[in-house]
Amino acid sequence: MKSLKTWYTLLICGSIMMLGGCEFRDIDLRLFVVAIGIDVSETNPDMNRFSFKIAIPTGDPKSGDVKTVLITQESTSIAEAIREAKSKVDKELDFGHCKGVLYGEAYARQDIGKIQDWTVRRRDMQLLMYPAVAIPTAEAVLKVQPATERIAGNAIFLALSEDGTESPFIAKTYSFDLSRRMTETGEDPVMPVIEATGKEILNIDKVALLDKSRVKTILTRDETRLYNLLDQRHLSTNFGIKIEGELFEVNTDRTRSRYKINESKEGAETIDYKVSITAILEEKEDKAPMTPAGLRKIEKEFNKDLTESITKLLEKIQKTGLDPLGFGLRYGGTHWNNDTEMEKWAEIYPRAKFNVHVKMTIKSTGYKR
Amino acid sequence: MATDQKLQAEEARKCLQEQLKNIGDVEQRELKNEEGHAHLIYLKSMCDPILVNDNLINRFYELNSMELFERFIRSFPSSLEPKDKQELLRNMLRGCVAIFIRDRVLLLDAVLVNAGSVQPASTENVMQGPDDSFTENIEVNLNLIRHRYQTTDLKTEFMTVGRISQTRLIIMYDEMKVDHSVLKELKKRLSELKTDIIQSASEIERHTMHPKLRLFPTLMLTERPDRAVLNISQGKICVLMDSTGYVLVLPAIFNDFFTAMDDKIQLPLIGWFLKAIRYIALFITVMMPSLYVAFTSYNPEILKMQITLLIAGSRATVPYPSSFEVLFMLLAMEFLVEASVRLPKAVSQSATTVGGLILGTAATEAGLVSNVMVILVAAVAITNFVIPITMMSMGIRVTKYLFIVLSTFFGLVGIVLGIVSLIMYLTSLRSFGKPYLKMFAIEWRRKGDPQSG
Repeated sequence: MKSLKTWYTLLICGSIMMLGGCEFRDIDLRLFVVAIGIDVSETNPDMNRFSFKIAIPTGDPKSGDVKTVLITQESTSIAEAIREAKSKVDKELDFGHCKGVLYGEAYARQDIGKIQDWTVRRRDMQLLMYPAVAIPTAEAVLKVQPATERIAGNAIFLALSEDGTESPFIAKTYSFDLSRRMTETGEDPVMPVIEATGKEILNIDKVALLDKSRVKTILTRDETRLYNLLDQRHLSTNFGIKIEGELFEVNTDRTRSRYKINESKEGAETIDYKVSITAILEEKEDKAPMTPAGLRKIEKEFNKDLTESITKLLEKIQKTGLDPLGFGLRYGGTHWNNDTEMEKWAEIYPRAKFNVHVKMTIKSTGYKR
Repeated sequence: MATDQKLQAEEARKCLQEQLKNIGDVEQRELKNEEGHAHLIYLKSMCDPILVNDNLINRFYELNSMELFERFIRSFPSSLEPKDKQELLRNMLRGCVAIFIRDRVLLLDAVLVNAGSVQPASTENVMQGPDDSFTENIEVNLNLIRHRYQTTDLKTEFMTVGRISQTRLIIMYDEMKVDHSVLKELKKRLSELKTDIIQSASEIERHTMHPKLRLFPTLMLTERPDRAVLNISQGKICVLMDSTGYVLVLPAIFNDFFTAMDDKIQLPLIGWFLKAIRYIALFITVMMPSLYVAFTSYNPEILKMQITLLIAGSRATVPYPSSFEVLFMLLAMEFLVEASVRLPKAVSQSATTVGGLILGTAATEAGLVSNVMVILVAAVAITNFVIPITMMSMGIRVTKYLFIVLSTFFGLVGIVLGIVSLIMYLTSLRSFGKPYLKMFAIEWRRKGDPQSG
């Protein structure tokens, strides 16, 4: 009797295994959304236009064909848009591999706070996403299918994450960092800008400066490079200069930027920037052999030129009232008057002067012997 | 005189003849000369005929005196005088010759040693090292160990277990190094052993361990004399057993099962590397199938996008959930392994080819199993074989199914749960009072620490 009971129990337990479960979807029954794009709707001002780029898995990795589907949906909210998009596909939408949120420029100039909050709130979204501003629209950028793309939807993220290309014009930004900067006092968010130029090429060479929720300015290419020089360490880039009509280009090897907020004189506060660059001479028009003395001369010229342009950039940022480099955070972090320090900083920042000191060392003439 | 304790020859002979009725290989010999007569009874199959002829029959006719002949027999260290019929019978069955001389019964050990020559190790191979393995003869095994461990500290205690099989055991240990509590525990457990027949060393393990149902071995079986010697020198106890080519080593902790003799032979760095590889293999063989299930069914976001799309693509034609896919393929692999162990060597080659190549490729081409799955099963099978001691690798083989079940129902959380409970289970195990999961055998002994020892 007892063994009969045991067998019945086992049989019942075993039959559970045979049941087709519900709410259980294997990897092949999911569609992976790799990027989301948000634009303003052209027809209805209350609605936004959401684009979902979905990667379609291919069985044969050797074939190299990349298939993606772009689903666009106009809706009042993103939560609603997803539910509506779900009824357009045959499988479960999975956001686990969503690695990018693209804000169309027009939308980014309004307010990205709502969507950004959604991306960090949703359970299956990763905080390692790469947010970016898309020009002209997010949909247009998502539609671009680069010829070099080997895995569906991967090209944008290889570039944005700097895993693939290492361009001095890309300001790598994570979603968690963006959200943090959006709430942090004393540091303002930045986002890289992706431009769709043609059908197969994406261009990421600018950076957008945001106040707490919307894009205020987009820096130019050269300014973006200088911004990255100030923001990152060991930026690998080139700098060019014309001396007496001859062009010299250097390739940077190591760069380092440090600053100090000098407030020894009330009312005449300065932010002292020290930028040190180690570089190698890469290109020159002058045919005469280069000597170390010649290098020193070039260094001097570079120092002067870079000092000037960095100061200009910093003053430009200062004028917008934004603080993407986090001066305010540094100021607040190094002062004890917690109640008043940020008010004090708001007073100081607009009137602060920038003292930039660039020290470039060209360590090699680049000749190979 | 203590004649009442001695066995009366006539009575004993009658009794013996009664007992040995219908046993074909009993040989009886009457030896007679002018002085008197002697009677030999022995089992032909168990005794050495040369020894019987040379030492007993020839001598009997040469010596010509009953008194001298009896003294001659008594001079053998292996001769004895049985106290009762049971002892007489038992020793005869073991290979003694019963000698009825005048009114005495004497026993002489004439056991026929059927020792095969020392063979190279077959289940624990090493690259560059001693190649001998234990034989099925306990004396030869004793010799193999003594030869490598020449000290009087090496103690040997004889014992017999098994009511019918009367299997001889030798407990070997280094008296200076052995943990006496372990020794006491072992003797206690062996004396409590109540089984009729013991034929292999692993049976002793099964009967002596507590609790009876366990997944991982707590006694090590080895066929390598050098491993036995190394373990004795580390203070462990070896139990040699007659008629089996394996020796029990105890206590054995988890880490011991991941040690091959190669580790000592190779340079230290390489030894550590090899050991690290084995632990990596352990992790892979236990975790891979369940991680596959968890990743494909529950948490695909953990993988890189490339792998996710690859798995999704190759699974597109597979008609059932990933857990079934894994189970089917793993079972197929187990069948293959099991089949190739049991089959004759000539056939097993083709069996593995048919199974591995044809089944694997055909299943993926037909779209019944994903490509990734086949790679995974192969990896699991290979890594399972990396574990040097067979008993452990069997335990590991079973463990991975538990993990698959957990991951099928609970995904990644289930695997974490499984790891935690596996570690808790392993730490709860004891091998003759020694903590099982004590890694690397370092004694963190402090004064007054109740946990130490």
